[in-house]
Amino acid sequence: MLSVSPAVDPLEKQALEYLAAGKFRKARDAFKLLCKADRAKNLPRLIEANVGLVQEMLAKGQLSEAQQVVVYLKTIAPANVIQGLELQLAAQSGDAAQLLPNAVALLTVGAASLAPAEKLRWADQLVVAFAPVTAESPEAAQLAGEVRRIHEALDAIAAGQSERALEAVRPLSRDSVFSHWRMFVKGLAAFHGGQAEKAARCFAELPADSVPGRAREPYLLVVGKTEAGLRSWPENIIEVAGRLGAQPRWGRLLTRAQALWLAQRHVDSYKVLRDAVPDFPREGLDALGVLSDFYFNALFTLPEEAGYQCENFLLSIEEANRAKNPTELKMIRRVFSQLLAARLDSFTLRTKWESVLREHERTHGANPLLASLAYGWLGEVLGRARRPGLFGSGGKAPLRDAPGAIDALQKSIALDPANLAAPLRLCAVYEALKMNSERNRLLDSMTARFPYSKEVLVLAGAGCLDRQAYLKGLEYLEQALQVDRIDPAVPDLMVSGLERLARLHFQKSRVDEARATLARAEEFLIEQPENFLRNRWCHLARRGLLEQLHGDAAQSAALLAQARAASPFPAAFLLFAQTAWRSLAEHTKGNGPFEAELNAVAKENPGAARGLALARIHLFWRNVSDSRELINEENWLRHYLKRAAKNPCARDEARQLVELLEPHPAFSGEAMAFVSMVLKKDPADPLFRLYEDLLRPFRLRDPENDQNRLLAILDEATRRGDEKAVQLARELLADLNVPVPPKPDWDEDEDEEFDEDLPDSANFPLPPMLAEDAEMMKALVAMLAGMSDKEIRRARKTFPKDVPPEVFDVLVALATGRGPSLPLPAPSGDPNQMNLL
Amino acid sequence: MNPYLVLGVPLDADDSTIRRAYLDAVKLAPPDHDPKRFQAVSAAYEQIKDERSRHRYTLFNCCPPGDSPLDAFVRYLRLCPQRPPLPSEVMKEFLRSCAKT
Repeated sequence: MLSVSPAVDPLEKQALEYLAAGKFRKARDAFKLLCKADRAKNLPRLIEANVGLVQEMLAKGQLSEAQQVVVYLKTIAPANVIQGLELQLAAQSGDAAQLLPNAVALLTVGAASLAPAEKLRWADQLVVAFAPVTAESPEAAQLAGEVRRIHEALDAIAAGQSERALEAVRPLSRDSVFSHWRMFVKGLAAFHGGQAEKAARCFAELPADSVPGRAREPYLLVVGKTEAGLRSWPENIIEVAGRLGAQPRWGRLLTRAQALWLAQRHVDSYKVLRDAVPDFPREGLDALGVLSDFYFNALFTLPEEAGYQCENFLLSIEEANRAKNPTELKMIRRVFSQLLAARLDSFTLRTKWESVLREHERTHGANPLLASLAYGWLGEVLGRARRPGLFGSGGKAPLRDAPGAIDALQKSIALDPANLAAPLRLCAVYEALKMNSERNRLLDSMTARFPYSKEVLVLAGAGCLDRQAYLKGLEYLEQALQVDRIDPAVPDLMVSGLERLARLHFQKSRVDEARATLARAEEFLIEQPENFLRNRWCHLARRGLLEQLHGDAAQSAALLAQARAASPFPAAFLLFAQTAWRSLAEHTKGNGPFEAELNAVAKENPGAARGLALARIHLFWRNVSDSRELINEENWLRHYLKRAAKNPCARDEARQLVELLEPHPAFSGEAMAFVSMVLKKDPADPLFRLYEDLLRPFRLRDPENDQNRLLAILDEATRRGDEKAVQLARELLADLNVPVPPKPDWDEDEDEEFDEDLPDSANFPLPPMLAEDAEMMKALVAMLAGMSDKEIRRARKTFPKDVPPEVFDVLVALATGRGPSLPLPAPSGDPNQMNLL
Repeated sequence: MNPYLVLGVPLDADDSTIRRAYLDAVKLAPPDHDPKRFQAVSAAYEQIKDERSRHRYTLFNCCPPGDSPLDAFVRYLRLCPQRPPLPSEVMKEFLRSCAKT
């Protein structure tokens, strides 16, 4: 390492700087001048500058220029310096006659003074010269013999004679300067013998800066020990890798295509192959087929801007009828039908998609199964819901193209009656369109066609229960149970159906049949506290209430007493029974039989844990009945929770409560009370600061302030290792279109698990609002702002049915300044979320 | 990667051929010995195990077989059954080029 020491002469200082910076030509000129003043001092530096210059020229392939400098160097440098340079020159120019004797001399006579890397280099040069080495001494004879053995081994490998190759290099000792060639040959033999792991082990032992160390790369690529990934590779490596898979002459093309791809010039990368290979793109199980798949399927994964450029190019080909071959046209249409499904109008989408089908049939023959899948997909896309307006769907499901969807799905079913996905999708379309009779007919036909499909049987069973065909529904559910005894959804539905049938029997005074029906539900009861459908005490409570309303008072009292005793605490039983009574007795007004007791327990010391259980009970009933009918119970619960929030509670209990209540604007005040309680203890708690933000009344966003606040919260969450808060903060920042800082360096698996915990929409993005929606909302908010609480409560009951209570609550929150921005989506798969009762 | 290539079956292979290829592949790469390969083989089998799955793959496959053109090519090479040795002259030329690198 050169260091620039203080020098008296500025020219000397400058020259040393040039030398240190690798500016050999300038350094040489400067030292030439300096030599005139002090030759003894500056000659070694002049030689050093010239040697550097020669090596620079050799690296650039400027052999004749390098030769001229070497000629000059001969006049000033010692012989050993010149010998090394001449060898390099000879190696570069393939001048074996010059190279070999010198290399042999270096590796024998001068071996002691050579660094290990230099020894490797000259040993490699002897091998890759692929010329006989003449021996003038015993040492040289040994070298020559070893080189010959390596050549013989390489020839044997080329001839597919691995054993002979191994035999040839066996005499090479570990101490030999060619020992790495022996390992290379062993690796080659293992590779061609199908022993990929052994080959990789041999190749791993090769020195990286040797010729075999570089030559192993294509082998490692092919055995999968190195990934080609997103990086460029030398053409020779690609070419050899291709040849190792019997795919020669890909080196140049793929080097270019890869370089363009890495430079984000995806279209140009595609054009390289398109222009150069006559059959590209094409379908098939060869390299061309794989590369065709790559370019078209990569469109699904490209970033938006890059994808857009590719789309433009390929669409221009299609529009101008410039497709290179039918496969290209088919691939363009297949990919774009799927990629642009959301953007294309129904007619264009259908036309494009059918042309894909036609083209496929032209080349592969008609196939009803494939056509059924194709039409099934089309029906699924056309049957997707449009973006809902501010007030939801207004009672009707706004499908993208309902007639088109029905037509495509019916076609799909006709083409392949065994394609279950199509009728299932058609069922969903009918349901969205409220075409109940069509849906029921379809479900009936499906149960005949798919008698062992649990999905069909459950759908049909639930459909029958909805239309009060209880016996038929229960029969389907029994069949579903035979198919799958583990899925809890089936017994959930069974219990619901049996209770509803029992209620019908009670109402028609068939008391014994009602009791027998309820007894059938016994086998499905469980002890899961949060399953309010099949929990034993909940079932006993409902049964007791049915007896109270339609049967025997004594039996009712006994059943209710059992339910009360089995319930987790009195208030849980009372709230559940009171709400169940309201539902079963269809008494939406006035006090229930448990109201007085409920009011009494509310005055006891309320806590968050019990509040959580009570909130779950109430929300269960809200999901299965009209929440407007439960206003008394809602008020009772709000009162309870407000008092509970004044008592100390654990952070985790508060978190669970907030997460449960947050999606329900009616309880936003109570959720906020628990948030405030936690923040009072720990004002910097990042998760609760985020909840506080989310629970704030809807307001105009201030992106800059929001961003700064969220970044500060994210910092704090990262510092504390609060993964949940980090995730939520990152999602909220992403929602603001703010570049999100990189994830903290926590365990990757844990992050993935956490990703799954939160729903996609957990950052509560407000849907884009239509102008007329915004106007209507303003008017409603203004109207509600002028109302008293009592009037608002009354309005909540009388508001039009197609305005969901949640939306009404948001409007109230806007008008009164209480409530959240948008609710969290309800978790799926919860039996208590099913509309069963 | 293309499931037909992973299992080494032709595009017009029927259910039984595919199942046989899958079982052979699993025998060569049982989950406890080569879990990565086993996973790839199982995923490939799921994609084409019956006629409907195969049609679904034909119509809706949208997974690029690599991260870049070269990556796709190399992944394909790994599935090629042949490993022909380089001809002697090609090997010599290649090694010479490695010496100049």
